[in-house]
Amino acid sequence: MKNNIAELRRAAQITQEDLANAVGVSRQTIISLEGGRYTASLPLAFKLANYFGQPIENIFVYEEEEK
Amino acid sequence: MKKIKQQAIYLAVLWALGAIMLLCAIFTDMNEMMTGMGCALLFVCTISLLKLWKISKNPDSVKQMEILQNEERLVFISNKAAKATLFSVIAIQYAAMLAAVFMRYNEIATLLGFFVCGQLLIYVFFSKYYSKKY
Repeated sequence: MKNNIAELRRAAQITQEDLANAVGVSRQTIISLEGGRYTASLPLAFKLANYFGQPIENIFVYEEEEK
Repeated sequence: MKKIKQQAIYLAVLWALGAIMLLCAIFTDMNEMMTGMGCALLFVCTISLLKLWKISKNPDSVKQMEILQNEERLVFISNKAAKATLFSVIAIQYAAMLAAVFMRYNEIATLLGFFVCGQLLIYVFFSKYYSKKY
């Protein structure tokens, strides 16, 4: 699962700390999400989508695993 | 704040338990193990309660602590660690059981076998329980 959180955050000119506080997670979670090491839960994905005012599919891009 | 109160109650109960153990050790035959455990519980709980009291005085720290306690990534990490721990412990016990069998410590091997089977049965029980629940 890829995501555009880093790009959207930079476009909104906010820090990881600001985003973390806005969606109620730690800064480390935002770092892991941006680095693609952690996939957000559905509630967190909705919170991020609401925060950026974008549909979820604009933020998270699902990629099928290669067989 | 609710979580902090719950944690404070939990620590207070442990603190009381430590005090009881220490008092029992003092007024009975000064069992060294009871004294050690009582002292350890009292010390750790007192420090933790003081830390909690300090956090409760600062609203920013309270908010930060509440975020960390409900943080989904930390819950995910904790679940992963718990699962890895369970399977590591089972594997170690299984290896120890085999070693005991080869060294002909039959009683120890049987005991370890019971532990391994018991843990696997508990795992299966909870798997079934949660598969019905969710």
